[in-house]
Amino acid sequence: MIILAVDSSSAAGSAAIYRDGQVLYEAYANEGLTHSQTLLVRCDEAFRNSGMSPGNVDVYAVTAGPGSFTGLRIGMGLVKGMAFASDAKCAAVPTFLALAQPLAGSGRDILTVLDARQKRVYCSAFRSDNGVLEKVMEDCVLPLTELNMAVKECGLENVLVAGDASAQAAEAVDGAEDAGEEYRYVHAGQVCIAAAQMAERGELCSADELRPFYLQLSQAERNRLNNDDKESAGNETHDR
Amino acid sequence: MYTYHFTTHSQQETEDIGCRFASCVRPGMTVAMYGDLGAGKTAFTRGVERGLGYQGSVTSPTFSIVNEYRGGRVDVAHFDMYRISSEEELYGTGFYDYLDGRMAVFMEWSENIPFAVDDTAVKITIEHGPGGERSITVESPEEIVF
Repeated sequence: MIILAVDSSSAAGSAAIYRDGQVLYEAYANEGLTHSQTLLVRCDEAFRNSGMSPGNVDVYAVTAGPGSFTGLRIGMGLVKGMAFASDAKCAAVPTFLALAQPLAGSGRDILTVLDARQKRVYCSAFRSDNGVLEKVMEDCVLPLTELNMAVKECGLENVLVAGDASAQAAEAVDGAEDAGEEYRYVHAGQVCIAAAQMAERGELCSADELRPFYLQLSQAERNRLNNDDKESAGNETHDR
Repeated sequence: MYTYHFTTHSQQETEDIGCRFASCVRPGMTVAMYGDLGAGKTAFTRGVERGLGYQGSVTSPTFSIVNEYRGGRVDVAHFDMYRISSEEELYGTGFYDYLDGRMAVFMEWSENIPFAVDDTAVKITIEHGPGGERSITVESPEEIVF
């Protein structure tokens, strides 16, 4: 099985080619240029350097979210376009799975965090056991100040933190360790590996069915509105 | 919080205050703007761009939601939040992608997005006064000189 994977879910962007259990080539950069200018160039680079062509690809994989709104749409649009042309299958790989994947052999509890701006993070968590990841926290948006409590509620211990907000999150969570620069951003090679596992589990879809997963902010919004309501109710009491 | 007041008597004077304000604009800065229709929010922003040395035109991003002004001393994203009412809608404009510290972000109609205005934002309120006067109030978490 040949997989082309792309990632543009955060500041870094990458493309990788995978064939039968091996990542053949990965083009990765975090040079600050916009994905709309560079992602297709990286795909081209991956094809040329691996000796593959779009016609060989069985599965097009993309990190489907959560992450940067603009970035997710660029990756999604690119993969949909290529898969439509060849009628290939697609894999919508969760961003957090691609982030946790390289730490699956660590035996540690893994917290994955992406910067959602304004002192908030998108987060999820996994337990790793002999290279197998078990998801133990549903994807959510949290203020950094609430992250420690959320991690405790999941019963996580000896936590290793990955993702572009790992430094801030490791500071916010008691006893957590920042996994470091190598694990801050998704690498498309990891997206290939996750996509291959999804293919084995029958979790592929058509280009038409491929959808981004933006991570609904409505819960965060509801919480905030509730807080605002409480505050305004408090003000009314004062006025009287 | 540091507060600065100005009174202007024409659109040109409002632009001139914006032009002075440009001297303290820096990448990563968010500027929340408040004021009724026609108060002068776009005029103020046009003045900012003049002060930053931006060569293009500055118009209200009513339909585009966001205009990007690149090439001045600081690149600026100019938002109009008039039609935005929820955090999901705001996310769907790409707003949060602009908060990566590379550009300054100016937000007209910030009344609509209180959830996205944090305590690091500079707030600019423009109010109608008698005889076409405008009262401009700049509130900044840090002391600014302009």
